[in-house]
Amino acid sequence: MRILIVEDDPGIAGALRTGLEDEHYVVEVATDGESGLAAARTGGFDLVVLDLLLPRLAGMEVCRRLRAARSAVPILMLTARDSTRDIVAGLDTGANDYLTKPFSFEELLARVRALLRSATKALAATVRIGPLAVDTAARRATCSGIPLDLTAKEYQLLEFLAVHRDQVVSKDRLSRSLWMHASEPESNALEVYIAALRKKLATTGGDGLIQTLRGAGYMLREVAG
Amino acid sequence: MRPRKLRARMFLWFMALATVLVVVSGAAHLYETREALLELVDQELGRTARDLAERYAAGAPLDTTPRSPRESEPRSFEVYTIPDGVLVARSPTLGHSTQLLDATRRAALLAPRTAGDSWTEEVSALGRLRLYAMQHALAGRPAPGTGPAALLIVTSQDLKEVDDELRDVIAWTGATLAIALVLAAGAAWMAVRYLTRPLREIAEAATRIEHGNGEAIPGPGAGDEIDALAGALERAFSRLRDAYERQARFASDAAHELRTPVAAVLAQAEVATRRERTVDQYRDAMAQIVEAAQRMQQTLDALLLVARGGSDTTRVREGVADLVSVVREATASCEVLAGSRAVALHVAGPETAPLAGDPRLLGILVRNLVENAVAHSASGNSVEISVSVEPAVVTLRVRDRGDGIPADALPCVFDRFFRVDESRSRATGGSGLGLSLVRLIAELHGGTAKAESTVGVGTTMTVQLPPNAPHTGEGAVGANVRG
Repeated sequence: MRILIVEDDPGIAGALRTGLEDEHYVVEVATDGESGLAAARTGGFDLVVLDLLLPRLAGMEVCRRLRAARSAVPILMLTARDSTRDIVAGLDTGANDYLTKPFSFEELLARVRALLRSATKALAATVRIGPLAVDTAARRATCSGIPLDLTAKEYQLLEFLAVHRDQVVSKDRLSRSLWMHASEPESNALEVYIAALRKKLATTGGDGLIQTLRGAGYMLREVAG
Repeated sequence: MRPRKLRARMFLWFMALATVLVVVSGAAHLYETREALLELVDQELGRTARDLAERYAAGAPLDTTPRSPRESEPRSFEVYTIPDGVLVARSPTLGHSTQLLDATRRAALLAPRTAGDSWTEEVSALGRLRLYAMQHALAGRPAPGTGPAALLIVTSQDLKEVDDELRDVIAWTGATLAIALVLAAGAAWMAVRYLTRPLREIAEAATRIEHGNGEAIPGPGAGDEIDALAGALERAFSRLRDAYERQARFASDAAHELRTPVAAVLAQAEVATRRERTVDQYRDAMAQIVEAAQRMQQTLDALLLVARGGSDTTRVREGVADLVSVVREATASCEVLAGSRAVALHVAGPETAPLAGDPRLLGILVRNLVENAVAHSASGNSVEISVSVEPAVVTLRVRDRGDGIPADALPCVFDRFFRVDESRSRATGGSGLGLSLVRLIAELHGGTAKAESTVGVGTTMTVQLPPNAPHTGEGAVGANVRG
């Protein structure tokens, strides 16, 4: 999952980057409104954490322009303003959630998870596909009740496929959700992770869950019958 | 006794005064009337006595009461020889045992004298009498030993009728004055209500203000004492209101300003302690926390400054400051920052610009303006700081040649949450309260702060402060702090 943080305060931006990266999100930071808007429009992010008081372009304006450009990316507004009027204005401009400073990092994480969940139409933190259960809050997965011993990247890959269940996910999109820059890893890195994941699933009764669609990408789907 | 309303007290005092006046004037009137009546009685008694003396001289009998215009009043007399005091005649109305004069008084009256003498006395069996005594020299009988040389004639009249008349007068006067008192009471009550109405209105206005929906204190507009009271109250109220609003606005700005560094500290600390980190990661988190805490400290310093300097214009203006020397010192302290950005600072102004104010607060004002201007200047630009003194106002202008501020943003530049460029506070290391603080300090000095700007040309921040005393002439001595 790719998260864009648009925040000019180095203390807050740094902590958010570290904390979110700990949770295996792919994080990018923009320190002013203009670069934040540009990144949000082109970066293929799954979520934007947007401060309102920004140099060059106010957060509210970034949000308005993103929505005007038909971007549906979930936006979590982060600001020192806490009046009802400000919150209403923020949400009406197109923000999906609103968090006032100072905030608890755990709460921010929970809101990030909730926003990502609703964006992928998932109903709860745990996604179940046949014998597979992916707990996106605890970042653990089980298959047929047996815990899967996954590396961080393997888990991220599985979670991304799980929350986008029954959809074809392109290799490019999968790569970008795993790495900051899609072109950097060797071209077969994704295939290597997919193979490892398939092997671990096969030993726990999850054989055939990950399907390959030639030239399109991968899909996680319950095996019929 | 519980405290009464002012209205009731005023009324009671007025009525007490009116009652004293009525009683005193009634008593004076009664005294006058009584004296006049007695005077009349005395005149008649005197005439009777003279009549008796003439009759005695003519040898006529004295045993009948002499005729008088007021026959209805019982009248008696006694005639004595002088100096022997032998009773030669007495009116038949007096009984044998009754005497008008007792021995002591007779002895006193027999002594040589010229004028007539009258007095009022209770004579037993005759009631309250007015007595009149007169000595009368007998002409034509001067031969010693042949008879009295003079007579002492004493006449008297019962005062019953005079007393009756006085009682009538008392009744009439009393009734008249009672009616007057009642009328005065009505008039006094209306007058008191009328006079205290402005006070009630002031109290009602003050109560409304207390409940937060107040406007101005109304004065009767007559230029009287109550008007002065209303004016004084209004001035006090509005000063308190202004001070309160200034402080509340600034406190709110500062509190909001604190949220970001607090959020940074919390997020850094919370994230750092979520799991094991490397030493470098801890060090980095600590450095970020220190940086945030320093920003908090600057905001807190500004808050404390405002709290200590007071929100009260009067207290701030008790000091004396020279704006020119304040500008020089503040500008010098900005030199390092300006130098690091290759921005030149030019100061121009008269030798001195004295005004009533706090040099420390004014120094913060100037520093914030200059830092703001430097932050807006491109490398190689200059910032011009000028002070001018006019009789009614001391003006400080800080002009930069930066990007300028759009016209629609100009009215809001002094508001904390309206920033054309948010980065300026961090670039200058300020607390971020900069322009908000500038406005607060200007207003504490009874002055104003405003911004004029042309996009692409630059911005001029103007602070106008009242001087402490009328000042003549505008100095033009330029000083170049930095070339």
